[in-house]
Amino acid sequence: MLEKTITITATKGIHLQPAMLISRYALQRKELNIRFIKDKNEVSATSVMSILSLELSKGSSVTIRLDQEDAEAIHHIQGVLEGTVTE
Amino acid sequence: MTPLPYKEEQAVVSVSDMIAYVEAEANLELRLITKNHVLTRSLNHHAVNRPGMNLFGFFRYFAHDRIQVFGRGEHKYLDELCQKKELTHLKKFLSYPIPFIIFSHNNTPHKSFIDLAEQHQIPIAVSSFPTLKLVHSIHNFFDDSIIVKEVHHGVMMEIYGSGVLLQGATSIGKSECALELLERGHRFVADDVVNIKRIKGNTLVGYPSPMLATHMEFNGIGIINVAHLFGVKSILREKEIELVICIEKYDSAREYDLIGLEHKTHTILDVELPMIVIPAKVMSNIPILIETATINERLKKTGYNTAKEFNKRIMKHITGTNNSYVE
Repeated sequence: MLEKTITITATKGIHLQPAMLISRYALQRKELNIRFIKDKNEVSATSVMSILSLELSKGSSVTIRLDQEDAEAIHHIQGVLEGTVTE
Repeated sequence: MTPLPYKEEQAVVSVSDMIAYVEAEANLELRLITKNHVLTRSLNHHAVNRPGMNLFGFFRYFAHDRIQVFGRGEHKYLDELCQKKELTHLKKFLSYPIPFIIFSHNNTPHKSFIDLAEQHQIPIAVSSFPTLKLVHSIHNFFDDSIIVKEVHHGVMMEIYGSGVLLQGATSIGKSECALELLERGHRFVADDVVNIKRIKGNTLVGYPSPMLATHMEFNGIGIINVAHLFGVKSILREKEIELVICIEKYDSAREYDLIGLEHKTHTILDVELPMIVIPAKVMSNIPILIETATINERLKKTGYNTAKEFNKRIMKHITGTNNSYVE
């Protein structure tokens, strides 16, 4: 298991578009069982709605939890949360 | 995407095609009054000619290869010419390979004109229509005969009033979907073979092949007649296509639309239609997804895009502003 806490720096926070990017990636890497944790709420990253429910505004932080270590996955999700990956 | 078995090119229509059309549709009353005539001349120009000037003797420009329509004025003048036995212009007029002559207002031409026409094997018909209505009907016939058509594999249904073309690989369950949708009160247009024609510029209309009509075929059950099993209220002769729904086997490697902000289209006969791809998973209830997708598409047409509105709501929540990032 691997955990990493990331602070959201994307200007507009995690709205529909970035939530979709994360969810799409999580669906492609189902074996990692990517989850997001904020304020003791743990949700699956495969669902757009679950991600949105965490209200990830700019400046808030979220913990990513993976079943196994995967640097690429962390890097990708971090990119979305920091606003560097937009597509 | 489904291959197209064939595409009908613009048809060359002949006089006999026109008469057959009149008999089938019965909206253009025509009565042939010549007996010795050729009906195989083609009507290349999809227009008519009013031969007033030519009866006066002007032949430098004579659109002789069109249907010649004699209104009341032309008929009166023709009658006078025949009675005075001034047949020079008429003989010249009929020496051209005219495909078809039609008289409006039930006016029958003078016997000598008919005789002359028969010498040249030119068919003459009489219509009860007034001239303007006759010309309109002829144009309608041409519009119908030059319509571009294509044949597609799929199912055509009317769902909540919208015409939906369902596409997908063979035996993915399109026909079963159609049955379930029928059971829910939607209407059937065509199964398996959907004829599509383009009318009025960019409107696509789907209709069944006249042979198959309301019949469907199922493995293990055989042929059923939708009109008999579900009643005539459940069938439609044709319907405008407003949405294409493509049912695909779920593929985890493929990216599907998760939020509804993507705008996929499918082009048929050069007309772009909105398209939605529904992945079929085990235990999926495809008919309800089709219904929902159709209503949502209608909602979009009314100007309310759920995904966009939802995004505005989220933005308001997480940034405290009211402007949407996604347009």
